[in-house]
Amino acid sequence: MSEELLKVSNLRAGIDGKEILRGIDLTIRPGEVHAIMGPNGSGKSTLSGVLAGDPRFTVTGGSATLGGKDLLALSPEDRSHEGLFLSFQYPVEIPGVTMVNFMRAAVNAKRKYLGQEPMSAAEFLKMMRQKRAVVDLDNKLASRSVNEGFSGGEKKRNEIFQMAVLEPRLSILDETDSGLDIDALRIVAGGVNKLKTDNNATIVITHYQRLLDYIKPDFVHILYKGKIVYSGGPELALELEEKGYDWIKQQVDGEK
Amino acid sequence: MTAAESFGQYLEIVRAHGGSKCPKAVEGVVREATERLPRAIEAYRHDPEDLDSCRADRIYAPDYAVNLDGVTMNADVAASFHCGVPQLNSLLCVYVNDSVHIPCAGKLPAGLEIYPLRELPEEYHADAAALAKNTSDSPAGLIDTMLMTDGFYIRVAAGAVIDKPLQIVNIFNSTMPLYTSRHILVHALENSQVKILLCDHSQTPQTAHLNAETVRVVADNGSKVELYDIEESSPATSRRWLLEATQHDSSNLTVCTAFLRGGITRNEYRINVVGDGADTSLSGLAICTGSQIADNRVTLVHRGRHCRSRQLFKNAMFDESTGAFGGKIIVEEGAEATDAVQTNRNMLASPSARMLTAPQLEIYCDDVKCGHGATTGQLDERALFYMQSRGIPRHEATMMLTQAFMSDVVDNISFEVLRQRLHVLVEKRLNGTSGSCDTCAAACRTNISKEEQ
Ligand SMILES: Nc1ncnc2c1ncn2[C@@H]1O[C@H](COP(=O)(O)OP(=O)(O)OP(=O)(O)O)[C@@H](O)[C@H]1O
Ligand SMILES: [Mg+2]
Repeated sequence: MSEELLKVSNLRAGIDGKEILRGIDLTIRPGEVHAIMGPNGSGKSTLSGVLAGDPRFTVTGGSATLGGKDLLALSPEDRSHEGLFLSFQYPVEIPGVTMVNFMRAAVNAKRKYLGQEPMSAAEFLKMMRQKRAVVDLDNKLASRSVNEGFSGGEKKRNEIFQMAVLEPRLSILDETDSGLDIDALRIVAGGVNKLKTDNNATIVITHYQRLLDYIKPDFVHILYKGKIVYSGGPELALELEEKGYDWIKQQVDGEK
Repeated sequence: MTAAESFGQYLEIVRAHGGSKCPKAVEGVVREATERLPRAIEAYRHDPEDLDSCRADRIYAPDYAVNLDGVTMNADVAASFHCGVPQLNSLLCVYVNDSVHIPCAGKLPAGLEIYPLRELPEEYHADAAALAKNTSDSPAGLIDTMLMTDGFYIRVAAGAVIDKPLQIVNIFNSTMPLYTSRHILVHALENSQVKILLCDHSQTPQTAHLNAETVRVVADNGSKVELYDIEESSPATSRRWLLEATQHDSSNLTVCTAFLRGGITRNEYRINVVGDGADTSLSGLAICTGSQIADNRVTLVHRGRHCRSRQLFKNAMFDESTGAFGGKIIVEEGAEATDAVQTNRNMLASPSARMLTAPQLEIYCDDVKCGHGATTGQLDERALFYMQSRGIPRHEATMMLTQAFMSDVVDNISFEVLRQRLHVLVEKRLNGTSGSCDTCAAACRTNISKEEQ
């Protein structure tokens, strides 16, 4: 368990000249689950976006590698092919592009990247069926446009379904629990657990301990004002649930 | 040379030749157009028509030859071609440059008659002349009429319902720049129904071609006319396409044009709804790359009462391409309960692409429902990133979004085989897999004799 899957060093990034990430350090090894918590606006989604290659953000310093490859030099699609997956906090609706065509394009693009032949239609449909079962996704959604008119919960389920299809090495789940009802939360978290192996890793971004009851983290980090200001074990999440962020804020802001 | 100078030259060439060899049925029409031409050119010189003059100058820049004697060209080409929209099983007609070929002549269903204008039976001369009459003052249009050496006359008998689509394949084949003046006259008599598909192809994609095609339709009471047009020619082609249609009581006209490949295209729709209770649907899609220009101009006049019209035009513009849409709806006095909607949506996929829109409503009647909207937007960057984050390369994601953008125009087509085919053609166009006749997605080159079996 010593090899590094993700290594982020002193990563700085911003938008329109405004710095949001102010020196992030984070190392993740295969098999690990890391939770990232932190107050609203602290930069959690920005960190996810920067790692996935969201063009809105500009990296101003530092580095990030995935399996030793310079992540920041890759296009978003190649980051995906290299095994990065981001479950969006706000999944995007794409009118006119059906889920089936979207997934087929995604699967075959990855196969092409890996030098494999495109999947046959039968094989593909079989796989879609199997992966839908992971999160109990209604198969009617498959013929609809991507996320269009999906309920909040359906969108989140759909994200994890895509994760199941793409079998990433590193998944970043940005508030996947928000919008899910109690049963759905259990099903979706169960799906994430089913996909867990010794070779992949997960970053879970959440505000609530509830999700971490299902997806047990090995490490918990607190992101505040664009920096990881505190790291600990699973007990840290329980502590936050109880005490809120004030003590962390005081500690950090007081240091200045 | 400017367009106005070219116009003058074509007139001189025709005069020096002692006129062009026009079909007897339309002699009067051609003479009248030729007589009105000098003044039209003069007027144009002072006030170039709305088609901005530099574009007209670009269209008329090549030194096109004209086929004044109506010499029949490349009959063998006609014989070896079929634009195979699979399972379309169409009645085939072919325009090779401006020569009319009717391979389907021997197997026309009852109620459908098709003639080359040159061989038109006497009894239809008056009808053809009425259809062909050119009332516009556009010098370009008058020259088209002046150069009419042949054309199709299509007549659908009262009550005849023609299921099989009639397909006219426009083929361009010439080693020298050529001006082809093509004319298609359609008369759908009472309660008849017909579907017509036009396809443009160039077998000599390097050669400059001025493809001037005029389609004139009269839809009698209760008739239903569907007209589809797919342009897949070459960047060396300039096309001026005119549809002029008159709709009578309870007639139904559906038109859909798809600009997939070409150089400059200007499609003009002049629709006159004179009858009551008529329905009109006009739609068009254009996918432009490079320095292509696609320009759609609609003038829809509602005179009858209780008529409904829908327009949906969409352009997707890449590179340095230019798109234009000018849509005018005129609701005349007395055209009560008119329900007219016009929509123009455009997507600019490149910062150097341009789109000009000019929607216009002129309403002279109180009791109407009219709406129009024109929007031009960029590619949805959020959607692109979402797709890329799933591993879909950016160019492919762009293609998928463009295809999605166009899908409602294609989905509007009720003629199923064509709808499916057009979805594929749009996809192939965006993939860049068509472009010359050899690779054209329409997959021609199926021998007609095979089709006939
Ligand atoms: N597109 C943007 N334009 C301007 N500012 C932005 C943009 N995206 C993020 N920010 C700013 O960056 C900061 C961090 O935002 P981010 O979304 O990363 O926070 P977060 O930790 O995910 O918050 P939450 O818990 O509410 O999801 C915020 O102040 C936000 O307003
Ligand atoms: Mg967030």
